[in-house]
Amino acid sequence: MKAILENLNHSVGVVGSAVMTHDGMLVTSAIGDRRDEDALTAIGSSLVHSARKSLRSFDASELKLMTIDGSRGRIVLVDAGKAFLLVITDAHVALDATLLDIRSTVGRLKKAISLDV
Amino acid sequence: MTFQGLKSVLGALCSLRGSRPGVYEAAKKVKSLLAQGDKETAGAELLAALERWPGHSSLEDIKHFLGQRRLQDSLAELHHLEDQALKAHVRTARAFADTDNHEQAAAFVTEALKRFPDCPELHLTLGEIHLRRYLADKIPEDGRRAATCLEQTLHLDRRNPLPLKYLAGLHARIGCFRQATEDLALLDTRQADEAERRYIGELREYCSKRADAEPECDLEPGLTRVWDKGDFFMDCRDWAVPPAPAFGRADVTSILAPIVLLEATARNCVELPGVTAVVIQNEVRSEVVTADGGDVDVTALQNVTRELVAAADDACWRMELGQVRGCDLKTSVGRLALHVFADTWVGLLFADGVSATQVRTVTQQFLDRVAEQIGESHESNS
Repeated sequence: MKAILENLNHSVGVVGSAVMTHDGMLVTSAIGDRRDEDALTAIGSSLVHSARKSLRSFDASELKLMTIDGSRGRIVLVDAGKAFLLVITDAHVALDATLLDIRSTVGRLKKAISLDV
Repeated sequence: MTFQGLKSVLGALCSLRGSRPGVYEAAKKVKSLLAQGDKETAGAELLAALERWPGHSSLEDIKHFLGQRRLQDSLAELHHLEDQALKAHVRTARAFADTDNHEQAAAFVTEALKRFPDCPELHLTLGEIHLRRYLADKIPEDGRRAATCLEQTLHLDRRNPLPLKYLAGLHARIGCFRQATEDLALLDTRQADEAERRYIGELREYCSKRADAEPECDLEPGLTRVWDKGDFFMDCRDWAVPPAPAFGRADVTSILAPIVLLEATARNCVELPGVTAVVIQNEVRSEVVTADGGDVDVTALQNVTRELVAAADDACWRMELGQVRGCDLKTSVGRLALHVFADTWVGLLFADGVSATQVRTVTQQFLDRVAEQIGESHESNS
C-alpha cells in the first residue's frame, strides 16, 4: 500500500499522502522529507474524525471528498471505501489534473484493502 | 681599395635600409597603426616584425602592451555584461515578487543570490517575500528567514531605511521590544511623512516602556511565542509591511466583507442554479438563507459549517499550510462550498447531483456578486 502512495507522490504538485481508517487510525503514509510524518498523519486523522462527526449530524451525510485550500497548500481527503486517502498538494497546482491521479490511486487502494481483508 | 669596398657595402646597406625598415621603424609603424585603431593590421605587422627580429625588446614591449589592452577590453565588456545581468536579475526578482507564487519567487531570488551574493536589492526582495509570508501565516521559519535577509541587506546598504524599518516592525510584532526600540532609534525618518514620523515616535516610546517592564526577548523565542499564541504582541497597524504583490490574484481571506453585505448577496444568490441554501457566519453571528421550497435542517447546517471551518483552519495551521481560503465537500447529501473572507465565512449548499463544474461556476458567480456589492457599498459611502 505504501508503494501505491509513493507512486501518487510522483504526481505533479503532490507533497505527501497517507491512508487512514474511518475512525482516524493511520494505516500507512508516505510524506515528503520536509514534513514531520507523525505530526501530519495525526492532524489528518483528527481532520477525518471531526469532518465525519460534523457531517453525521447533518442529514446523516457521509464524507466522499473534501478539499481544503490553504494559502500554502491543499489538503485533499477522499473516501476509499474502508479507509480515507489524505493527500497534501502545493497551493499552485491545478487540482483537476491531480484529482485524476488521486482517483486512480483510490481505485488501487480499494483493491489493495479488499485483498488485505 | 679596401676603403672603396667598405663604401660600396655601406651604400648597399643604406639602399637596403630605405627599402626594408629597421626594427625601430617597424615598432613605430605598429604603434602608429594602434593609434589609428587598426588593431588587426598592427597585430599582423607586429608578428611579421617579431619573426624577423625575434625577442627584440621594442617589439616585445608592444606585444605585452597589446595583450594587456586586449585583456582590459575583455574585462570591461564582462563587467558591463555582469552589471546588465545583475540589473536583469533584480528586475526579474521584483517581477517574481509581484506574482502571488511566493515559493517560485523565493526560489528564483535565492538562486540569483548565489550569483550575486553582495546585491542588497536581492536580499531585500527575498526579505520582503519572507516577511510578507510571515505576517500572513506567522510560521517561525519565515520570520527567521526574513530577519536574516533584512539584516544582510542592512549590512550591505546602510543608507536604505527599508530593511531597518521592516526589522523594527518585525521585532515589535514578535515582542522583542528592546531590539525594536534600538531599531527605531537608528531609523532614518527623513523620507517619512509627518504622520509616519509621529507614529514611529509613539511606537518607539511604547516599545521602550514595554522593554523596561518585561524580560528581554530574542528573535527565536519571540517567533515561537507568536506561533504558540497565534497572534502578534502588537499589530503595528499596516506599518512596516511589504507591499502586496502588484499582479497577484486577490486573496479573498484579506477582503473585509461585512456580514450584512454577505447576507444581502446570499439572498440574491440563493436562486442560482443548484443552490439550496447559503450560510453566512462569523464568530458571533450565523444566518442561513434557503431557496424556495428547500428542505434544509438550518441548525444542523449552521453547526456543520462552523465545525468544518474550525477543523479546516486548525488542520491548515498545524500542517503549516497557511490560512484557509476555502473548503469544498462532497457528501452523500450534496456538495458544500465554503469560502473564508477576513473575519466571515460563507457556505453554499448544493443539491445532490450537482456537478463539480457547476459548483465552481456558481461559487465564482457568488464571489463576483460579493465583489460587486462591496463596490456598490464603497460608492454609496463616498
